[in-house]
Amino acid sequence: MTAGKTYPIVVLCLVLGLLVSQAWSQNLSVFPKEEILLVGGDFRLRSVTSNMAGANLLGGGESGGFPTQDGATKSFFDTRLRLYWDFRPSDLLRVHYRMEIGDVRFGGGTENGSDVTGNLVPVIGPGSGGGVGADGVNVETKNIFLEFAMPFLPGLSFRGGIFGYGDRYDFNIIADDFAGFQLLYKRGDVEAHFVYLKFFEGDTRDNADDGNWFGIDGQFQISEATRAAATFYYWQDQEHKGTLGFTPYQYWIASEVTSRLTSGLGPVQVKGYAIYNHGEGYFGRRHGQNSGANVSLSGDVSLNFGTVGLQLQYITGTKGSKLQLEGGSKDSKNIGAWLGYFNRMYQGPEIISLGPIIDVGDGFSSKWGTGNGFYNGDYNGRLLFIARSAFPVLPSVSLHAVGAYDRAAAGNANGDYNRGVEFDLWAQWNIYPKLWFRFGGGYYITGDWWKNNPDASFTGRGPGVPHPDNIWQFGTRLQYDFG
Amino acid sequence: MISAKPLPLLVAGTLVCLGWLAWSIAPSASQGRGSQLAGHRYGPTTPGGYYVRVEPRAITMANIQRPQLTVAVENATGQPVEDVLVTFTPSEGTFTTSSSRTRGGTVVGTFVAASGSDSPRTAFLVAAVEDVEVTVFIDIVPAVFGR
Repeated sequence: MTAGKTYPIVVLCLVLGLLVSQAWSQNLSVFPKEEILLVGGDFRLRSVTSNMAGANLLGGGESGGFPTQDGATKSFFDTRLRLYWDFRPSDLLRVHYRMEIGDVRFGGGTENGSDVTGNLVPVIGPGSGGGVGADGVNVETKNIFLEFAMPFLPGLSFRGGIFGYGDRYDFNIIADDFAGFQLLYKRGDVEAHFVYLKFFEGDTRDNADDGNWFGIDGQFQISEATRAAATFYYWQDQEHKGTLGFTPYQYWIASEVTSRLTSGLGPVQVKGYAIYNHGEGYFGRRHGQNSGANVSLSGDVSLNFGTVGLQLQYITGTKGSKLQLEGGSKDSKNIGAWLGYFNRMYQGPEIISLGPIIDVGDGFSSKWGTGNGFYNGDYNGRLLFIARSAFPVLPSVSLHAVGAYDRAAAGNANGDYNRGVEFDLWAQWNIYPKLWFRFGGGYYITGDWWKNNPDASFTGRGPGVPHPDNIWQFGTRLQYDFG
Repeated sequence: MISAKPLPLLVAGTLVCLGWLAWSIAPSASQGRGSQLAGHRYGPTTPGGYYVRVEPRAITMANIQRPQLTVAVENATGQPVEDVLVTFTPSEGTFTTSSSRTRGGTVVGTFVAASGSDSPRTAFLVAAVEDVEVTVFIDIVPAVFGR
């Protein structure tokens, strides 16, 4: 046999031989015939009563707007069912699907409109069921993704599809459901991932970001009780690409340290982070560069009778209003404000952050690019001090008390800094395992920052109301988690 | 003498085959059969002189998930040590094990977050062997971010 025939035959035999081993591996050790299907979800029934600014075509979420003057009291309740299916033929592979029915809202006394995120906010009155949900659709896909362990490198896995993603910095930079993919590595003391995200934009979210996100995040366990992390995010604004002669962008460099310390009172969990942000682009009406910083330090101590925690955060800002800073045109102006896509998940405050009582998400933390977003005080920045506590008063009941002081880092158009003070009190009753009831309220004493502030108006152009109401909100939430 | 023509075919075929072979083997290896925990080794403990490993060292979970955690106890030469007491103290929720003493050199348990607490936060779990305590931070995040 000549060499010209020998080697192709050798290669062919090798291929066939390995195919057999491949088939054996796939059928027996890796993907057994049994398929494991996990089903779960949660059902939520809640009520909201509040005097926040109501939904409007120009913005202002039903429960997450901002102070208005002589605002009407409104109340509604809604229901939501979330279901998920997790197909796990082996520990190495997973297909996940999560859907949502609702929120189906009853009452509220407001006309159909859109909230600050651009989502539709229809109201289904008595006898008119069958309409769309509060977020624009009645049945929707929340997550759908595939995840599997990559070959060659133990600890490396891939996730692709539509999935939720949030940063580790109290979700100050980014937190939402996206389409994209993620490469994750977790082994030993190291956990890291690379992520590419595209905003899940649709017909009911036509003012969404429409940008590309790239992120790389890693954490390392540096001792028995301390971990350190570093992150880099890059955002490329596709929506305004081509309108400015360049592609707008933002990037964030961040680092975090989390540690458990011991004290005479009990263990203390300390968490501190710092983020630097820089970019150039078009936000609202401004074309220019921005640079800013965001630093936070928190500590929560576990006592015999509960937990008590403090958090202090400072976010740089620039003096003036959006209108002044933007100049009404796309001229190049540089500002010293920190920008982020999202922020609503501090632990504690109901109105300032994502409400722990009723889980309403807009609050004072709406996304950028909207006409009335008060994200971290917008360009004025923020000084935020939170005191939080939780006390198990009965085996199945815990009581939570929170106080927060909210102040702008730089004065607004009128030179005012004080945004307000919030107090919250709520209780949770664990009725049965996984079935729980949460009720309570929050009260926000509005400061001078809101008075006549053009940043605190529906349009973001005219002055805000001269005597804004203090905001109050009371809610109940009955939820069953299953699966 | 080997002619130059079939060489590219040979190389390409070999690479494909090796890739396929690695694909076949790697998943089995990553299931951890007989593998040692990869994290840092803490110790020695007093008075036993044991060394402790914990895997995973980082957990990110939704509040209804139930992640598993393994603590391995070994001697100075890396051999597993039997019947060593391992205690766990979570900052919230529960951590349950089938045995509080090592079997095959390990104790495996399951963490369950506090009922109804779906707010994002960082919890921690302390695994202790004699006087050595290892903390695992558990990032609890919403299952769905778009509310």
